[in-house]
Amino acid sequence: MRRRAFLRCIGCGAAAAALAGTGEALGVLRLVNRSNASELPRGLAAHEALYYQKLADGQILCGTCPRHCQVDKGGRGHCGVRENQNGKYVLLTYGLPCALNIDPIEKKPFFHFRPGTKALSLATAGCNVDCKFCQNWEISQARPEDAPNMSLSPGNVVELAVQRQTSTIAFTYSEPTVWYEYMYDIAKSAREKSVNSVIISNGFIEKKPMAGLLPLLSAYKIDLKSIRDDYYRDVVRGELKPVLERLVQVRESGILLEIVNLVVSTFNDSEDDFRKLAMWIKANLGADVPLHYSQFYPKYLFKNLPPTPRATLEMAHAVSRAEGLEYVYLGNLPGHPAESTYCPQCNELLIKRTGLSVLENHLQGNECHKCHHTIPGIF
Amino acid sequence: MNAINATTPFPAYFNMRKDGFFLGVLATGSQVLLLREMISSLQGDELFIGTAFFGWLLWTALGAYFGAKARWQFSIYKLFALAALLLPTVIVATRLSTSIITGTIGELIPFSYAALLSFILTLPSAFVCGWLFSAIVRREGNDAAGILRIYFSEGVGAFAAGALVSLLTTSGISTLSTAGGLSCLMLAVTLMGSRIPELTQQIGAVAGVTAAIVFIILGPGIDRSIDRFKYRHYTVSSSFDTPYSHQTILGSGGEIVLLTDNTVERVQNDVQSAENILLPPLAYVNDARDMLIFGQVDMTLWKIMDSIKNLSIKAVDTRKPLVLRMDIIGAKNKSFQHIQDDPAVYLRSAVSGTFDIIVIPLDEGGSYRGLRLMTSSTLADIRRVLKPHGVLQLITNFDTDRYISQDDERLLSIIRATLAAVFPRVIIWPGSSTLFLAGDTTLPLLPPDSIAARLDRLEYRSQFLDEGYLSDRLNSLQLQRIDSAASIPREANTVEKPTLAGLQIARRSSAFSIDRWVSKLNSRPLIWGVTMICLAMLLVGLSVAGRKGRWPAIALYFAAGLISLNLELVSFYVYQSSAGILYSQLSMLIGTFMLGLAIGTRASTGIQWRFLAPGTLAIFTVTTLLFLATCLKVPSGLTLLYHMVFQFIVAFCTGALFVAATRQYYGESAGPGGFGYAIELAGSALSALITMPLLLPSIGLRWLLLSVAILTGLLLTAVLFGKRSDSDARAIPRN
Repeated sequence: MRRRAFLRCIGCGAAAAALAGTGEALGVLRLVNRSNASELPRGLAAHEALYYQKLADGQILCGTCPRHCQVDKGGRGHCGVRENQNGKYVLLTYGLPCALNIDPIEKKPFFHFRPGTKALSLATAGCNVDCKFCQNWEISQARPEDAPNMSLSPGNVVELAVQRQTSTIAFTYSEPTVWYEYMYDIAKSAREKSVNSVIISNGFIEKKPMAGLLPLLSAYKIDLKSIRDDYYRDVVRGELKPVLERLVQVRESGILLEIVNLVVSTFNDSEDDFRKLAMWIKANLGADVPLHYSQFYPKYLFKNLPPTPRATLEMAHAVSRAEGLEYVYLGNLPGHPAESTYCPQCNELLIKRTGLSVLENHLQGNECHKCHHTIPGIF
Repeated sequence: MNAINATTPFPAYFNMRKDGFFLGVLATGSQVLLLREMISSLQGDELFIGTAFFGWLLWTALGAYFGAKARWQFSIYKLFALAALLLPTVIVATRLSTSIITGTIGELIPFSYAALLSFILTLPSAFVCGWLFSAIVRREGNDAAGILRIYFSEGVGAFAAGALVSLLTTSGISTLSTAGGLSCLMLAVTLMGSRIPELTQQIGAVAGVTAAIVFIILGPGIDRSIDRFKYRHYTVSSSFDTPYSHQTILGSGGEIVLLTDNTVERVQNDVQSAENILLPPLAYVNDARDMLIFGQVDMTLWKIMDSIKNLSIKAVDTRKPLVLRMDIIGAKNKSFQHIQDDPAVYLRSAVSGTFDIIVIPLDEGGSYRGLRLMTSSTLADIRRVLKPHGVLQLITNFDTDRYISQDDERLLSIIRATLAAVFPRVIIWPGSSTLFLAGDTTLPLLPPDSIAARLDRLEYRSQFLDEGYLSDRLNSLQLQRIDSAASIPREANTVEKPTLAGLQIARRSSAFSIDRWVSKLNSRPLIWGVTMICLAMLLVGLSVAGRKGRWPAIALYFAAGLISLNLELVSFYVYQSSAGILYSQLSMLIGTFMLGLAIGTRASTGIQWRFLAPGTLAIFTVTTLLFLATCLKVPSGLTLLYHMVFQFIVAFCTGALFVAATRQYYGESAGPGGFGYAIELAGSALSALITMPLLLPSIGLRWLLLSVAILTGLLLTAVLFGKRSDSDARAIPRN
């Protein structure tokens, strides 16, 4: 083992020990290991994908996301983590997360799902869109062989969550759709151990894979990045229509849905944008779907774009509320009243938040303690 | 009578000198101002300087070639007018180019696009200047003595342009104003030399000079108009240049955004950034009174300061015009003081044990200019200026909140190693903006709840850094992960070996698939080292064992280009590291180089080859070794003079070596030709591309200079013992 690999193992082991707590360190060390190139070809996995079609000449048509990549032998899909290996389509990052953390659920952000709890959060490399403002571009836009991978089976992930007493596993950071099979198996194992699974996704997924996944999930957060096609085309390099369709699909499934809109200065920050977004949500999903407006911070290719002004976010909040949305939140403005949950019927403060902290929770089950109006969510 | 007397009213000798002089002014002025603008507008780093230089050299050479070969010829005065008009036009085009390419504001462009743009944007001016040289030479009738005279005049003109541009840019005149002023002056000169009635000439000259003055006065307004177009979704409240950078102050949704060279530097009402600057060190030094911050502080910080009793802050920034404007914009605060000085110079003169806290916003530290504060010598000064229990805080843009990429891992471990070389204790805060805190052994290792409790003792109520935030940011998993990543043993970053900048270039490249080859090249210094050794052996071998004297000449041509640009760029780097300023003095250094080149070429014409080549190589070797021994020990007041002298000697030797190679190659019978120039250009191009981004961070300043000295020493030996030629062929001038 080379010095670098040795140091990586030491580092990962130390992190795992910290993750599991002192008494359980040895157990976790067995679970988490840095991926070793000698164990897998190129240090990557080759787990067969669930949704694909074999075409003529050994080509493959990917059926996971609306991109429908047609992949030649030896080639990879747009996401960079699915490969055509002699006519067999495989996921290269199965069991190889490159990010693993215990995060407050508010960081996702989920405001209507077990407030004040934590989630074991993980991601592998890869993404099916190319947002110019991506916060996680070092892993989402990376080839899996260039990512700082660990080796962790689905069972190990669930075991880790149980050990850490986190009742939730969150598939997040990069786009979980592109590591669907790994996520699916984790969610399946988690359900058996009564651990919740939630997904933080761009919603750019095909109908069938989503339908397969929904029964295993407790909550779905979708980044609706804009209500404009041109924004999806130019800034996200994806498509709006499939995302809107999936939002409706999630809503119809009855699973808790929360929506995030990252407000990027000069790109999707007009009053008209906010109004159309709110109107679409109200008309197609309902007024009680929580909507979070997040502040943009300069990142990745938009590193030289100023952060979104507070006034713009406040305008987004006001417009969305005026359009009738009941739960509109502002992110990244600690202490702002719009971080907290209010009863839409009596306007009573129900959950007071600042930053990642829940300061007060006055809910009685799912009801307002004052007027007993039912608040959607899992509290 | 030659052609020139037939077309102009001036005596031939005088006219030729004048044309050459003004060509020097225009060519060097254009080169420097374009380079400065491209670095600012295209987010250029050190790699970019090399490619931009290469582009200029290439197009000048092609312009000179086609100018010499073309059947149809333009009037010299038309060419002068064209070159003069091109300068401000190309600068405006450069300023708008990124917005045109990306269609968006604030989007990074790949290095490959920036390099391609630099090639395209240098083409018009460089090509016309090259053509102009050939046109002047052709009018002289290609007489060798005349060519040398033009060349010498051009060198003097280049030096004059260097001094003028340096003077103007140091005075805060913007790049565009300087370019516009220079353009108007050159148009006036063109009118004075053209074949129009004398009265019209005089009126034209007066109009040109007046226009130059008006342009300089109106320049800031033009700068602002361009920025208004670029940042049309914002309110541009101010737009101006400092000797270091182009500054734009934008208004957006009631907030103020400071852009430096089109990059967001600070934002008003960015509470998170302000708290990250102010609060972490205060958690460790709860009773701090004196704080020093390098660069512009977050404007929100002034407001937070009001809540903290007894704390006074000094912010050192060398950009005087910016300091003045920020003082006007910001609320007056008697506890806050702006100091206009170079941070490194201020540290050297500051009294020991003055500050409780020193903050360096390193951001990503992608350039040698920014990283000069992140070296062992500067850190030692910082430690001296800190009080015994004081803390240095280094703020980076590396996001280590959720994972640590391999590129970040390398950079973080180098930063830690650099800090650990000076400070006994280094603490790292992971997060979306990774912080380093360094101090002596008394710097406490505090758990998140203790930090929160200490921050609670302050009068200021934190918005972001509360207990919930801290327990997430500083959870044991994150701390262990960053500690293990940053503790991988690495070399410290020093002026002699600026490893951080090299890795930053690679990191930025990784954002673009098209640029990943840069990263791959950068990560293989061994290949470059072996290539350079093979190249040196080849040059020496050719010098010793050449046939008919041609191969040794080719080796000398190539070596002249390779060595001269290498030393020129190294001198820029060392000057910048010492003085903290480069772009306003770049013209002075380039002008001096051009003068040295011209004088070296002219002075060597009367010297016999057997003395010329060995003598030049001997001076090269000795100068390089002397530079190696003294370059980091020069008193601050003499820095510019020292580097001007060095650049002059290097250029002088380059000119002489070029003459020696020309005689070796062409012999007595052949006339001057462009082949030698092409070979020298190839050497310069290679040097431009690899010296700063690859060789300097990989092998360091000492080995780089030592390698040059060894190469010139070996060439000297080869010349002394190899095949000799004593032909007296005249030199080919260079532009």
